[in-house]
Amino acid sequence: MTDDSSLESAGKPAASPLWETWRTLRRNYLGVAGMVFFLVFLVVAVFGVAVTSGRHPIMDPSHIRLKERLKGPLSHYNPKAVEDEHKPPLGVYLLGTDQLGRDILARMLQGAWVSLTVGFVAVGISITVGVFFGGLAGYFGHWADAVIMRLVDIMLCIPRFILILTILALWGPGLFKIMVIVGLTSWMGTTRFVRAEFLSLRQQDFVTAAKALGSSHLRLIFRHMLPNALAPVLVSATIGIATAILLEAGLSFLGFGVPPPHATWGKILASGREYLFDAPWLTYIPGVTILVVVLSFNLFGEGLRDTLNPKLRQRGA
Amino acid sequence: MTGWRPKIEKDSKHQRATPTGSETLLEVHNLKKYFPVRRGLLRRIVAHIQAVDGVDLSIRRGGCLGLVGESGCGKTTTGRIILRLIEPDDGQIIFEGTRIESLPDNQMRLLRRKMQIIFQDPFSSLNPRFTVGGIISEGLKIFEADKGRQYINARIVELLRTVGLSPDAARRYPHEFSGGQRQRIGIARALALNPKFIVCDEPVSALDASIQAQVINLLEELQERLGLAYLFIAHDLSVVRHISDEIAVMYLGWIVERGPADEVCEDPLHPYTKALLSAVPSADPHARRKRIMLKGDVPTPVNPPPGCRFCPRCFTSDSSVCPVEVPPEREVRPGRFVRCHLVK
Repeated sequence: MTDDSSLESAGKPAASPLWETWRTLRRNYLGVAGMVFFLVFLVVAVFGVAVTSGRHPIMDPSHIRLKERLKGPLSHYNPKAVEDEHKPPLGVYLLGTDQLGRDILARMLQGAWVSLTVGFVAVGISITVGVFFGGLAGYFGHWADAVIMRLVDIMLCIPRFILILTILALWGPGLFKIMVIVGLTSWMGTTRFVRAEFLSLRQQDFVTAAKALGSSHLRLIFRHMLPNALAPVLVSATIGIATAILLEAGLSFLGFGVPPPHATWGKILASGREYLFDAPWLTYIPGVTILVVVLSFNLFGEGLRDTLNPKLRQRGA
Repeated sequence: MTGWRPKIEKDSKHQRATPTGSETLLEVHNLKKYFPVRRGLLRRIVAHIQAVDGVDLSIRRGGCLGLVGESGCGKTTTGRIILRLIEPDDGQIIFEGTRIESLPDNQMRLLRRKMQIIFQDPFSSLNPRFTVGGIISEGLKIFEADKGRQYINARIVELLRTVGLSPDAARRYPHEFSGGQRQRIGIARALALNPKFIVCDEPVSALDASIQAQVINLLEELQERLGLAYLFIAHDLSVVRHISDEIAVMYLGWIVERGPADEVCEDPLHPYTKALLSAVPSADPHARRKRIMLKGDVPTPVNPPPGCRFCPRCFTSDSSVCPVEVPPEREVRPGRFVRCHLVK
């Protein structure tokens, strides 16, 4: 009466979910390209903070060489004008210098770390808040749902950029403030995603089964429902990082970013504007970098979304 | 549905029924659940779906009550209300002598280990992110975590063997199994805490005929070995007749007839039961049967007919009483309850 024979054919030992995700993602070339850029960006940002910080950094992003202003990419340095300890690595300004003779490569590397932390911390905050509110709204429903969703509607009505500008104008600029404000103004999308997932998960039999086994509310939410609701959150997180980087660049461009002399991509872009015809690399380098990073995050996010969609997954047995 | 044939003779069940005694495990009185229908901008309640409207049931210790009816008649809702997975609007649920319909959540959770559920759909009832071992041991981790990892692992292996799966299934994920195997996993999960009572919510409706028989036999074997009581919900009378010692027939939120399984099947009293039974295919091609065709469709439970709910489709109705007066449940013969004006 047992079906042992069919059990044998039930398939090989479990492939881990992570491996299955990678198998599906591999076929999405743009997604893989996005992921590769994503990883390269991570490495560069970490490398950048290592070589540009400390009292005697290997590459000083804020050292001014007035005799070496607006030199083009790949131009050699002038040994007579610059002391040995401030010469660029390899003796070449790989990405040129700006109007104060500062090394653009060093400034870009310093800015990469800012973009990375702004992206991750802001998205971390927004995901935490979003999952919390979305989970509450979707799980408990009724008035919790009504209150939270109206709050979301209100938040969505406020033009985010104007709100951030107002707050920064009132309390002064600062990297940490930017991260927190960006995070606290971008959780609404996640809340909606998570709420929708929870609403549909709540009807699923396996959640009812967990309830019938005596699970507490917290156990139901965090152990049974949340792991099944995280796929769209992950996707919106990758795209959220890109949005946060753009937002920070925009703020820096307008002069509301991190206080000088710290470099960020938006600030390099902003200062290059005045030399658009004399030194176009000042705008192209940060501009194209922002474009590539944001695009790769978006591609990676969309690749993940397609991969994590269970309907596209090949299921064994 | 037609390929399924009873395995054991009817008599063995009744021999089994006597030594377990007739102590009542679960009683349900006047159970009601109305789901609100909301419309419009302000989500005002415009009507109620009368999903369950005054249901009485009782199940013996170690017994099996079969609950049959068309889809949408409230069978599943009834089963879930009894387990307090849906809150009842009115009525009493008495489990082992305790009124549980308004127990606070924390006390209800302690009772949950004694009452479990098996689901219809073996695909949505298992968490896709848990291994089979994780699914089965979830209840143990809630109630018996103090007994240690080793005990839980041993119990997982034991449960898998009990339901006829090999122990190495524990490390796999649900999607690697077939429907029948997944249903066995669901049964193992329900058995993990040694419950006294299991609601089987159409446990075989989603399975192939050959697998149906295996799962039914497994459920019967477990009932005998572990002294389980079942509320067996199904829309297929032949399946229910085989496993149950009592049958309740549901129609539009009412139980229209209940009584011992064989008596209800051999000699149905309510016209709806008669119609249902006439639709069961017979194994004997020469048997002469009259197929009763019901006219019309099941009326909506939002606005059920006044008087007898079955009246608009009934072939015996009396135009003076049936459409006007609600029939009470009457014990027409010893142990046989019918909700019909005309049954003598």
